Amino acid sequence: MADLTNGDSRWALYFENPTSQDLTFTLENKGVAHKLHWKELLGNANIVLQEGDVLIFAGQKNTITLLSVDTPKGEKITLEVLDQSGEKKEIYKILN
Amino acid sequence: MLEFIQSQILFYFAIILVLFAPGYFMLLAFFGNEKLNALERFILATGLSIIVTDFLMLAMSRVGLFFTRTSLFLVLLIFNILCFLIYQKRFAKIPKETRSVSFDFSLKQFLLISLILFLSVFLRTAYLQNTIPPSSTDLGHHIYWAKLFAESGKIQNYIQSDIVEKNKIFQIDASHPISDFIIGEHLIFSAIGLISGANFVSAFPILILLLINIATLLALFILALRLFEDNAHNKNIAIFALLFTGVLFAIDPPQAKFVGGGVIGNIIGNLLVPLTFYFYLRFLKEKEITFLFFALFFSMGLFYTHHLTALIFLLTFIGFIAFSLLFNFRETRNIILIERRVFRSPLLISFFLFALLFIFIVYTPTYLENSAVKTVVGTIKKIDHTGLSLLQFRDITGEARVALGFLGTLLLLFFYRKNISKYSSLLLISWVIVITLISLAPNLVKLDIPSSRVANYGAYPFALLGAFAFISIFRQVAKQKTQLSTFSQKLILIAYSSVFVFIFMSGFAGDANYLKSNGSGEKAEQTFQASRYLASKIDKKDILISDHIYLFADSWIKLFFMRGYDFPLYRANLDRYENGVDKNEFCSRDMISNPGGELSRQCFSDLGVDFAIVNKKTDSAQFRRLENFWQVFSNDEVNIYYRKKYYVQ
Repeated sequence: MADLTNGDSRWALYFENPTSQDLTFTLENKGVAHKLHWKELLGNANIVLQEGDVLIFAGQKNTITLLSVDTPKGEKITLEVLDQSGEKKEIYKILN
Repeated sequence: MLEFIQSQILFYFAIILVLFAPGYFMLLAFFGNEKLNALERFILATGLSIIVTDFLMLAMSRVGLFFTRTSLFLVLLIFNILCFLIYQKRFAKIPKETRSVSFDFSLKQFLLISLILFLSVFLRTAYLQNTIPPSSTDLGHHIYWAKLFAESGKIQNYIQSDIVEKNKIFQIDASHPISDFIIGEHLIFSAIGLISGANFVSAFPILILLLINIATLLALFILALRLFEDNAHNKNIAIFALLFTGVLFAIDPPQAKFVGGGVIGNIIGNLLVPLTFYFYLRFLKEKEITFLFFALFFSMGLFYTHHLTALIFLLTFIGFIAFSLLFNFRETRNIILIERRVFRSPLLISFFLFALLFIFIVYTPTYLENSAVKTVVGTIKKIDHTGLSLLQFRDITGEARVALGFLGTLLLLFFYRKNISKYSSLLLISWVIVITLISLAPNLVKLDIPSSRVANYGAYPFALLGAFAFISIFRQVAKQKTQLSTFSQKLILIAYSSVFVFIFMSGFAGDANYLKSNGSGEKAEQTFQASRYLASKIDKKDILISDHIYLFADSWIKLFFMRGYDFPLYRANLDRYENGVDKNEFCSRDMISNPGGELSRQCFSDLGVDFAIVNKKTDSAQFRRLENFWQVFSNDEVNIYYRKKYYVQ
């Protein structure tokens, strides 16, 4: 579990447009500099559609626009992000 | 960097302008440099400034003058200048050397007072470091109103709405008044926030409460000096009273715990009560009408600040009059009958006219307007209002303080006839008896208020009486020391040291637990981050539900939206749905606990709730199982879910 007292792992992940089908997401870093690895996953089987690394400095944020990928309707698209300590966060939408 | 320095300077300036200057200049206008010494003037000015600022802002709101940084600055400045001009006219001709009054402390006493004050601040700040950023539920509720008044520029009605079911459809009901909030709890925060530009979701409210709490210690100190004025050891008694509230029991309620918990009404009320008694006492001793004027002015301020404190004060005051008539009949009757002239004084007549005008035309306290008095007088309904056991009372008030306090009461009663200042004794005795009685047996006086909250008020009179007992015994022992054998002296020394150890053990008992860091600041920041995100993304059609049980600092979420006291909707503690008093609906519970349930689906749909902000670890699982919720935000503590409105089951 993340150590909340040292401030190292305090980063957040969110969709830029929470109510639409758009999957653009932002990584916001409140702790020290983080190298984060993100993946776009399809369905419950978690098929990797695309992935990447991003370095975010303390107090910075980085918005990532995904490449358009054809996905079947009604499938869950998950954005999973891991930091160097193994701390994982995810957000998802189920597209129409 | 420059911006930081500027914000700091503005903050300190706002504190001086709101919490010191109006009271200082008003005292100057009435007393000049006479009657009050520098310490008294400083402490009285703090309490008086709170009242004056409140009254000025109430008057501004009444005449339609909006609260802005400029308007507040000008109104306070004009008030200060007017007071200064009155002072110039009345007192400028009095030679300086004849007009100073002071308490003379020895160097040892001065050093001891400094050490006690240093430790008092140190212990409190050590505890309060966990509250930056703020997280307390009560403070979140209070600061919402302070921010609302500041942002809207005027006083708004204290109202809220509930979820109700009408014709099998859930909806938000029409708003109804709230009696729990008193205007005096919020205006100084609005003023300081506006003048300084400080963010309301920051450490500034806690810092203000800490300053008021420290001022309360000094208020007790000056009251002790006056209460025991005729006692040769009054300065030592005052120093020990300071120790009993400042250093010992420094974190227990009503000290740092109340500051961190944002119990604003109690914190301000606890400053105003000793200062009110201070003026009544000086009037009774010196028969000067100006003291009575300020006593009444402070009493009025108390009723505009906190209803429970005002009630305790009122009952103590009634007890004091009853005891005075019982034990000091002749002098009290003389004051009531012969001193009737005081009620013909232009100053007092002006005060009563001002009070009537204020209550009926400018602003009526909410608890009078909403007949809330009826809810606290009568048959006791809640279990925690039925009175404490002696053990509970001891634990709340502090074992050493209670033991010595009762001993002090007995000593005062025993030596009552020898006391020169009977009113001091009677005031302390009534104060202690009233609080003890309402805490232990509220049925006797038919008061339906939380017994533990009442017991917390005992801290101050018990500290005064405890200090009196301790110093009286010490003095007696020291006096007889030379006549005793070495063995007896040693025995006495051991006994006295044991009492001292007992006092310190008792006074520091809870501190170890209190001072543990619980990471609350970091958790609160996670909630604030999620709230900022939502506030930037949602529009006025969107409705949000949050959770009070597991979401840290949830009461502060509404400050990011400012869409009403009841926005967002929230799941309350579960017992509130079962006690038949607090919650008469289950929508707010089930929309978080069981979002896929039949009732929840209807509630989400009827109420238009489309966002849920919940604790990531305890309440995410039930949302993740549902296909009509998207997880749109995630940090270390919080997840946010969006409910697709077009989803068809």
